[in-house]
Amino acid sequence: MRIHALVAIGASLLMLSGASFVHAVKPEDNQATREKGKQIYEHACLLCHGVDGRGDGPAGWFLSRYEGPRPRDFRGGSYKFRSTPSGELPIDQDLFRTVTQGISGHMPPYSGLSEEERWQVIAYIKSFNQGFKGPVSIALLLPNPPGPPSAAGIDNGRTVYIKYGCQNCHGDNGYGDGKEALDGNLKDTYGHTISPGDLTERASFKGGSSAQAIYRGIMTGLDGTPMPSYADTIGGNDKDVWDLVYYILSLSQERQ
Amino acid sequence: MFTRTSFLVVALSILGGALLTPLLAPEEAQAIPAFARKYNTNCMDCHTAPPILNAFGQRFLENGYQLPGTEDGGSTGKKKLSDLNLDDVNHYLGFRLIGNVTNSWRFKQQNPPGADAGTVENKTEFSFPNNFVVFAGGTVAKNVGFFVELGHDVAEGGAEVERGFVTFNNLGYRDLAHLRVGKFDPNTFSSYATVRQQLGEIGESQRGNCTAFAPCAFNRVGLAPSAFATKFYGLYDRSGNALSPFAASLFNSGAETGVDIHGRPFGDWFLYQVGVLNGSHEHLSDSNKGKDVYGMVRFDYAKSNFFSASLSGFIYQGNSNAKVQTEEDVNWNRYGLSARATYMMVDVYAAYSVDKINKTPMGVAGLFDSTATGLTIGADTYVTNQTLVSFRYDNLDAGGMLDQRTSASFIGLQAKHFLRANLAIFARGDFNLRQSEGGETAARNLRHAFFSGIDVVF
Amino acid sequence: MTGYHRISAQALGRILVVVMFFVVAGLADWSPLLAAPQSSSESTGPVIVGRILYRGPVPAPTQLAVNRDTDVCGVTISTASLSVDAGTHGLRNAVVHVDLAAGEVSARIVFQSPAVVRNKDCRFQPHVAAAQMGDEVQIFNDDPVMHNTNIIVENSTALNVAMVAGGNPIKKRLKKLGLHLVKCNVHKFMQAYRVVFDDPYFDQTTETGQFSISGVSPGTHRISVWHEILGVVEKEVQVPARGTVVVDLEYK
Repeated sequence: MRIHALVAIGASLLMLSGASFVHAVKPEDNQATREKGKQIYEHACLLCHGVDGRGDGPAGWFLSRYEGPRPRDFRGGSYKFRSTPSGELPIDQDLFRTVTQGISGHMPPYSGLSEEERWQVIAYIKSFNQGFKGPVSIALLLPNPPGPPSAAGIDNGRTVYIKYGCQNCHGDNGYGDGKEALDGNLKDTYGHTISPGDLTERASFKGGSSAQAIYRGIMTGLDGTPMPSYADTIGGNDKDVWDLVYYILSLSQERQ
Repeated sequence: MFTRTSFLVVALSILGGALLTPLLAPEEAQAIPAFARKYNTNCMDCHTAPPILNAFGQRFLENGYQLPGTEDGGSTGKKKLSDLNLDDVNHYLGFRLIGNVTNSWRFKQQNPPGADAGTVENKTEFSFPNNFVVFAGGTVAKNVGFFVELGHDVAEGGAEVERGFVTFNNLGYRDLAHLRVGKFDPNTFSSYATVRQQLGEIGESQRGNCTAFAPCAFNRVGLAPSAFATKFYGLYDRSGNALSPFAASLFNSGAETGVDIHGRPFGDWFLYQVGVLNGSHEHLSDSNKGKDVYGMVRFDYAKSNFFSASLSGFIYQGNSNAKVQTEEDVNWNRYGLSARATYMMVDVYAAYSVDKINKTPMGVAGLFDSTATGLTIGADTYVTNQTLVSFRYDNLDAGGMLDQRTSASFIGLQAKHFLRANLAIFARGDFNLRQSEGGETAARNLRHAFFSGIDVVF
Repeated sequence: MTGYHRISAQALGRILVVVMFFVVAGLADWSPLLAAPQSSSESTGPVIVGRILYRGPVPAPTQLAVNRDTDVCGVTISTASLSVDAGTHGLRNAVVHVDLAAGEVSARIVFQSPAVVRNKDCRFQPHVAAAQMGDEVQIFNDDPVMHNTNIIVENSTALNVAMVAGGNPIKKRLKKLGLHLVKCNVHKFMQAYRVVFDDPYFDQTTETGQFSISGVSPGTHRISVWHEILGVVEKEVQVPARGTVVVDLEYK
């Protein structure tokens, strides 16, 4: 009897702690969470993204000065780093990834915030855009990379690179010096000149430089920029995309 | 304006810069020095124009080299080795090489050897590099940071630790108190930080063979912001070395040893700073009899519209921190205000300070003005994405020995072109607005000065 | 009620077959065909017809240099953003809309035919079109070169899709209201417009500047007209319970 009671109490405690652990990592998106997120935002994010989330914080201008990209406008602006189709809002995990990893060359990684704090600030950031109150966007299926890249695959990747028109912006050798870039034709949706990624330098991959991150960037595009989504037009031709991913990765050396 | 030789040199150096441009030009540069490397980001996250900080960089600095709103000193960008969390060395180390390829001065030299008094001298020389700085900074653990700066002045030779301190951050609760211990620049957090300027300080030229507690004239004054300068003629450190009226001092010295605390206990709009120093001009091997204390408060507005503004006030109380010609101690104090407003490409800042000797020593009574003021107004603006134009106005109403003191006003202009984010060439001109006034003193002797040089940070 | 007779089972069977035929036909997406009778049956209410006029100077078409794919696109592309009928002064490619107060807007009556964006000869065709929110936009690439179709609404990407030569056409629902700027980043001279409304009370002017809008409730309404160069003009109009009201608007 006593043992049973102890076991029961122990079990319920375990369940409780388990439950509270789950809540601690990703808190429910409610007023209290957003309030905590606001406090974090005002210290960590406001200086670039501005008090209203318009991307016009007091330090926001200097990053690219007269050019782009400027800090993200959270109210209606397009989100670059998504796993969702073009024109859609990101899912929470996309925002979490960007907050954690930062954006190479532009935004520092905020892995110094605890997981819970990151979720709290994401809840607050989402409150700037009414669209997040609607149905959650469906992420594209992002498969795991197939086996190791083959020489033939990388050769095919080069062919795909040309077929997909990558060289128009990223240049024939991937230096980010394509004709459209050199002619200054590439603008973001605000009309600011922006430069395409240098595919020979992994620090230039703003959405991450893993094979999967590059695959995601190609399939979803970077909204707000000229980089289009390839998911629909090439639908079903997954092998070509992976070959392209491995070709792109072959242009840069792995460091660290 | 220039002699033929100096004109040639200036022209050649500009041409040289122009020739370098296509070699090094476009391509958006990724970030360079240590912190940018560590966070894999861009210099411009923290700077308006290096070394001037923007609002984000300011908070990063206040937070002891941790991202604002975090205590990431123990983790971000680090490798875990046993119980150590270490950054890569290149996340700690930074270098700055700065130099005027051309120094071109035009001034009236006082009694040059073998010449008549008042000879006008044009002096043009190459002097690159002027300064090479190695700095190491960062965090060693959560809320524990450090900074060491080793400077090598090429003209004077030798290397010395210009600044070196450790920080303990977020004591009590977040942003309540941050502690610095070591040799640091007191005026780090006010609206106009002494060591972070586009038109940096340029040293004076002394006539040489100065003896202790005797007036020692300068051939030409230095070019330091007047609000930060010593301002008094006939003031000496405790060993009798004459203090230059145009060199940075007190709250605005480049580095002194002590302890200081700053924080934002009431939110982002208010910053306090209090500190105790061994004494002013310790670099001349001199500590005060008593400690000097200072306090600073700063009010911030930084919300949106690419706009920020701040207003700061500071008080520095010296304690037997200088002597006059008669070797009598004085307490030399400073009261100042500084302000700054930044809107998109334009950054405007100003500082005004009043220096007071709290009691005129008997020996110089009636011969000594115990009040002096300095005003500096500066502005930087990006005229293109890579070109920064800077302006500085200085007015120094000098105090001190009435028979020596000479007030001065200068205007400085600089154009700086960033070939890359970490590599800039610049040309600077400084003009003496009071050169036509009578008298033959250092403050009048300098007609104008022209510099062209390179600034590299990596 | 006298001429009433019973329907035989046989007749019922025939009717059923006919109905089935129409159902199947309907499923087979004959919507353009079906839309016509439906909209005519719906237009028992008032109809607003009119003409958008412009008498100002009409510049000659601009010749834009083609910077790539000249074998497909040609060396220059002529753009006539201001197209005015010489005889009638009717302005083409203006979008006319009846702004109803909230609450007056009836439910969606009929889907328009799909909004099409065709990449053809390095142009977007049609150059201007209006559509209703929720309509399907279909994007085709008929050219043997790679395009992208980048649709921007108020500084945000509504859709930016690569159109690889020979790739699949794109079908997406229009989810945003307002002016849609359509661009190709590969060919910077390619530009088009779509205007998306949340009701069906809009039309686009013909070569002679004519438009016709039906299904509007009676009352005083504002008519607003958008043109890519000339901007917006507006006019109040009294709409009767039935019949046709003629409204001409002129860009001054």
